[in-house]
Formats: sequence, structure tokens, C-alpha cells
Amino acid sequence: MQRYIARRLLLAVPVVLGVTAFVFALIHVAPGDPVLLMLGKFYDPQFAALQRHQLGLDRPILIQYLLWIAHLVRADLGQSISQSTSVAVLLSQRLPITLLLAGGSMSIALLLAIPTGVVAATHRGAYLDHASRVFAMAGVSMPIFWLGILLIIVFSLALGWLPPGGSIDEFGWQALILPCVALGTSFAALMMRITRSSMLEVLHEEYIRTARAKGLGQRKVLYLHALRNALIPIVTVAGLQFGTVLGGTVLTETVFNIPGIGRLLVEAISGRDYPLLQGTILMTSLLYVFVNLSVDLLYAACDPRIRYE
Amino acid sequence: MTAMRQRVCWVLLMVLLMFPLGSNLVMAQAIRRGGTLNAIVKEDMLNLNPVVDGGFEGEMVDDQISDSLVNVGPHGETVPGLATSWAVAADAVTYTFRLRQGVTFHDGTPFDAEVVKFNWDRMLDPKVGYAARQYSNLIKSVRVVDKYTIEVVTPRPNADFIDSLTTDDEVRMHSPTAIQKWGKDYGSKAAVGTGPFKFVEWVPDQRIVLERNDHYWKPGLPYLDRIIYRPTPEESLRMIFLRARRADVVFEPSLADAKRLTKDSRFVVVSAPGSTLNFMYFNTCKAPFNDIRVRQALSYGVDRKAIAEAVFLGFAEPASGIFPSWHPAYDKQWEGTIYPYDPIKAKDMLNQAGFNDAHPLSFSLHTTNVSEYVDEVQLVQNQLAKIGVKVTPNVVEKAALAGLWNPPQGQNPTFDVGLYRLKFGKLTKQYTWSSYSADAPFELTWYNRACGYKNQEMPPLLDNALTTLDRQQAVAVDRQISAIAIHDAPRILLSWGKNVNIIQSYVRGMGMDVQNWFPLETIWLAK
Repeated sequence: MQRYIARRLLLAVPVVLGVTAFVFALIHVAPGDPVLLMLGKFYDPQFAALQRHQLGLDRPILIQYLLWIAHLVRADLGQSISQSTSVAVLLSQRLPITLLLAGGSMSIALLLAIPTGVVAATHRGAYLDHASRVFAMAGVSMPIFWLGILLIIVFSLALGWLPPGGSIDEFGWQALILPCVALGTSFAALMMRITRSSMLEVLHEEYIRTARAKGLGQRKVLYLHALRNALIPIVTVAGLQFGTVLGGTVLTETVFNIPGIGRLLVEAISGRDYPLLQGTILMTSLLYVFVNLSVDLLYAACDPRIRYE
Repeated sequence: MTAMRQRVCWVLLMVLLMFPLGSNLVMAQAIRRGGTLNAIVKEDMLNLNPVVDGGFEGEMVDDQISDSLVNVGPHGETVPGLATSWAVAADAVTYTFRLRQGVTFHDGTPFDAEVVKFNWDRMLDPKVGYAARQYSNLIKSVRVVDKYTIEVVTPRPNADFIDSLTTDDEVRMHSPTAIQKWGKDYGSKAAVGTGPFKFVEWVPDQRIVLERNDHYWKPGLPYLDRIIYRPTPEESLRMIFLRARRADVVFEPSLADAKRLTKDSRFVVVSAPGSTLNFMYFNTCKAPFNDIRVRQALSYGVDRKAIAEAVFLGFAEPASGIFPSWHPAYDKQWEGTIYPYDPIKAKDMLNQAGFNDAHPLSFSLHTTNVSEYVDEVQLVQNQLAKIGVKVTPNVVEKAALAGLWNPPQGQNPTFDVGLYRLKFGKLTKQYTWSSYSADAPFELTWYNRACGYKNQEMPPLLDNALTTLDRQQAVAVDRQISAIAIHDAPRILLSWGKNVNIIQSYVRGMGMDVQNWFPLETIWLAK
């Protein structure tokens, strides 16, 4: 198991480096100059040239990237150009908020999707199944920003129950409820459909018939025997969807005014803040790799027959 | 003091520089002290360090924290700030300021002439910040005459000098003790001035908190206990905050929202003439935009009145010259006479320039991804289609537009035509120089480049306007500049936008100036 984890982590290195190299090349191809934006009204060509030299922006792109890697090896993510602060400090401030948002959204989605999916499977063709299908269609169709604004209008503006987003230190954990619901809904819809189809497949297996023949109750059959065996596709899709959730935080954080990694990423792109952009992309890539590794390890927990050598 | 008197007279003529919008209400009701003003701003500030660009929001916040030697008064006049009086010597370059006594910074540091010298020497030190190169053209030397008298020498006679002191964030006074204590963190973790409010904290992308300065040098002010600025980029969320009374004021809302709330008694839409120019700029380095006939034809082919009404919903005036209607160099006689919408004439002129139905003019029009800009581009596209011009909209983000506008040194810009909006404050000579000549005697900002436009008559006139301290003469020169700029049409000046903000009906005592910086010291909450 440990060897497997070590091998996967080693394999993650080229993946992460590949992503960062791709983004690095892409942002340099786009027009825009970080020094121009940094100096703002104090821009003048000579001084800007000096600043570019000091920041190493006058070197070839490949050299710039290799220098970034060299600093990264020494655990140095560099200084943000636009915010004059260490990239590591900025990430450490913003990452917990985004993780809470992504984790909260995933939890809401799974709590909503799994029971609904199971019920839809066991009541195939009945009203509950149709209702769940409508929910799934609606959930997938509604854009996050639209749903987000709708939730704010209803629960914050009209009913006054919850804050319309904002920061946790100011409005408490309640500030995350609406953003998590907005982000988790579309994810829940997809997961519910996966749960339903996976459960339908398992429910026709002979071991389920055997369990029932033994006289086990419906709940035990469904949740101990059927769901556990149906979990592997659910966990797989959940892991894959984590990337979508991370992408969704960019929109959600903007709509709900949450100061997380998503907003930092937008600021890094619009300010052409290369070190900050690289740091943010590195962090999100690492998160994605970590989640996928965790999903693979979860397979073993779901199905004891799976062993990693 | 003669110069000062002249200046006061001139500035009084600057119509509507500041509107005493809330003054009647202040008279009618007893002022209520205390409370927190929740203000929504579009973007987060960048910094409060005066020698680094803090962005519009940074300047707006610093305006509450720090003071300048001279200020803009309630009717637009230049009034004493931390200087009680000032005079310019016969050489037109030596200014002497008498400083206010008994003023202390928020950290207790006393304000005196040494403080002014420290701040301005720091501003002029290229090792410290980015402002040095620009301001070395404003101030040559600073000398302490005595504890409360300071002498400043400008490199050359400069009509903008006093105006720059009233408007520019960089020349404001900050505590030398705090600057030395906080070092590189000054401006992000601390900012200490003599202004009505003290800096409490800045949590990036979340809030900027200020609290009342109990020892403010203006007796009885400010009225509020606290101000919290919240950067909120999402337009709809800004309106939700306002409707939910989580915001007392929304700075620079979308004009559609402002229009919608105009008739809602719960809110007051506050608008005043401003200095925001909406314009199209030609890349005159390349054909066919190096041909004056093409530029003039396109100027006749754009219906600026229709654009002002459709896109700006009444919150803009069609441009009648290079200055807005409140500016002394504005000439009322020009109203409606500058490139009136005339598609037939436009088409004829294009024909003369070699463009017709068989060989139509086509170009790409760049702008940024702001809905109002995109609307403007679409209207221009439709209007120019009527004279046979094919416009391809090219919407890019701000950083990309800046890159296109300002290519690397030695290279010409490659774009065709751009459409943008810029806020020019008190419209100093920086504005006219950067718009209409690339050879300024001072450093020009990256934006608002002249894009290759050259007219030999311009630089001497621009220089004359810069060095003429007599306001009447300066107005005459400015009008000559305006006439040439209109004739040559290196830009199509679409409209001058108003400053628009929305406040709750209980917010009182608010003024607005052309820069759209609220003087928040007089605001109070009737709730």
C-alpha cells in the first residue's frame, strides 16, 4: 500500500508540472503586462524596463519557468507582483476558505444525492423516481451564478434567514450555507443519477436476492449489501467531479463575495500576476491529484477484494 | 496671496465641482452622531502607501485617512487644509506655505514643516516608490523655513501645481513615525494620517475598516463612528446588499440599477457632473486612421446623443469639446456643433477617402468586458453599418486592452480602434498632454496614449497651457487646444459621464466632487 501511494505521488509530479507549464505558456501568450498594471499611473517605459528586469520578466519564457521550478524546489513560491506579499502567505489565507466551501458543497451534494438516488432506484417508475429525475434535470440545468443569486434573494433578502455570503470571520459559518447549496446542487443532481443507475444494477444481483431470502430487512439489504457494492462508481464520479467543484468555486466566490482561492485566481489572471497564478494553479492541481489518490484508496475500503501492491 | 485669490475665483467658476447635496437636509434635521457607514465599492484597493498606486478605491479611502496642504472646499474652491495660507513668488516657481499648528497624526506624531519635507522627499526618492519620476516634474526641492513654514520650488512654472496638491493622493501627509515603523508593510497593515478617520484594518477582498479620529483638527467632525468599505465585484450582489440594508451607500453602481432605483423612495440616486470621458481612440500609426478624412467621417457617422441616452440612461452629456461642461475651458457655443450626427456627410467623406460600397472600410473595435462598453460598441457597430462601415467588435479583458494600447517600447500599436472610459479628476495638463501629444515634458501614464497622433501646433500650445498661471489666459489656450483636437479627431469624444452613487434615504450630509470621492467627514445617518 505504501509503495503504491509513493508511486502515485511520484507519478503526480509530471502531471502537476505539466499543468503549471501549460498555464505558464498560455498566460504569457495572452497580451498584457504585469509591470504595466503594477505601476498603474506611475508607469514610464524606462522604469518599467528596470522593474521587468528585477522581476526576471525580460528573460525567455523557458528560463522564467525553470527559475520558478528552482524556487519551488526550495519551497519558495515567490512574491505576488500585484499584492507585494508572499504567494505562500496569500494561499495559506485563502485555501482554508475554499476547502471549506468545496468540502461543504460535496457534503451537501452527497447527503442529498445518495438517499435520493437509493429511493429513486427502489421506486423505479414511481412518482418518487420521476420527481428525482426532475430535480436532477433542474440541478444540472441551473447555472451556479443564477441559482446563487436566486438563493440570496429568497433566503437572505426576502426571508432574512442567512447572510448573502461574505467572510466566515465576520458572518460566521452561516455565510457558507448558501454558497455550498448553490455549488452542491448541480453536483448533487449528477451524483443522484449515478447512485440510481448503480443501485439498479446491484439490486438485480443474486446476492441481493440471497440476502432477502435469508430474511434480512429492506433497510439492511439496501444500505449494507446493495449500496456498499454500488459505491465504487459513485466514489469514482465524486472524485472526478472534485475538479468541477474547484472550478465552480471561482464563480461561487465571486457571486457570494467569498475571499477564497477562486477569487485569488481571477485577480492573478486579470493582473497578469504570474507568480500568484502559478502558485494558485499548483495548489489546485495538487488538491486534484490528492483527491484522486484518496478515491483510489477508498476503493479498497468499499470493496475488500481490492488490494494495492 | 494674489495667486491664491485668482485661483479661488477660477475654481469658483468650475461649475458643480462639488454639490452640497445633503446640505438642505442637514439644515432641516438635527445631526445625529455615531453609527457605522457600510459602503460598497466595486473593487478592492491596492494599497494606502502614497508612493505606490493604490487604485481608485485606495485613493478614496486615503482621502478619509490623510490630509493635504490644500483641499477642495464645499463649492469647489481651493481651501486651506494642513496649510493655512500660501503664496507664489514673482519667479512663479517658489511657493511658500504656512502650516496649521497644533495638528497631530493618529499616532500622536505632531505635524510640522519637517513632516512635509519628509513626505515629499520620500515621494521624490526613486528608491522608495513608483511616484518619484512623475513627481520630480512637479516638485524640484522642499526647504524648511521654520517649524511651520515650508518653501517648495517647482522645476518650471506649473499651472497644475496647486490643483495637484488638492487632488493627488501622493502628496498627502502621512506620519513619518508610522512609515519608519512599518517599513514595507506601510500602506497594507497601517496607514496613519491626520484625517477624520483612522485606519483599523484591511482584510483583502473582504473589508477596509476605518474609525473616527477623536482628535481631528476640524472641530466637531466627523459624525460617524466607523466606516466599513466592502469590495463587491458582483453587480447584482451590490444591489442585494443595498436592498437588504446591509449597505448604506453603493459607489459607482451599474447605470441600469441607478436608473431603476431613481423612483424608489427608499434610496437616493446621487449624480453630479464628473470627469469620466467615454471615447473611441484611433490608432493613427496605421492606415486608414492616419487619414484625417477617415477620422472625421467616422466622427460624423456616430450618433453620440443616441449613445448617451441608450447606454448611459441620462447619466452622461454628449461631449462638446475636450472639456466637460463644468470646466472653465468649456465653450457653450460649441454645443451641438461638434460633429453632429450626419450619416450622409460621413458617407461622402469616406468616398473621398477611397471607401465605398465596392471597397468598404472595415476595422476591429477593441473594448473591455464591461457590459456598458459592450453595449456602446454594438451601437457604434450598428450606426457605422448605416454608412457602409463594417465594425468587428473585439472584447478583451482590461489587462489585454492595456497591452494593446501600450506596446513594448519602440513598437507601434497594432490595434485599429479602441473604445474605453477614463476618469480624469480635475483634468490637469496630464490629461491634455497624454491625449494629444506623445512628447510631454513629464512622464505620461500608460493609459490614454495618443496612439501616434502628432500635430506640430500642439506641443507649444500644451506647454503654454501648462506654464500659464493666469487662469483667463490658460482658458484661452485650452480652447485653442480643444479646437485643434476636435478638427484633427484623433479620438471620437462620445460623452462625459456623470458620477453616480446610490445611498439609503437616511444617509445625510453628503457631497460629491468631480473625482467621485465622498467627503465622508460630514456624513451622518438619520436612523
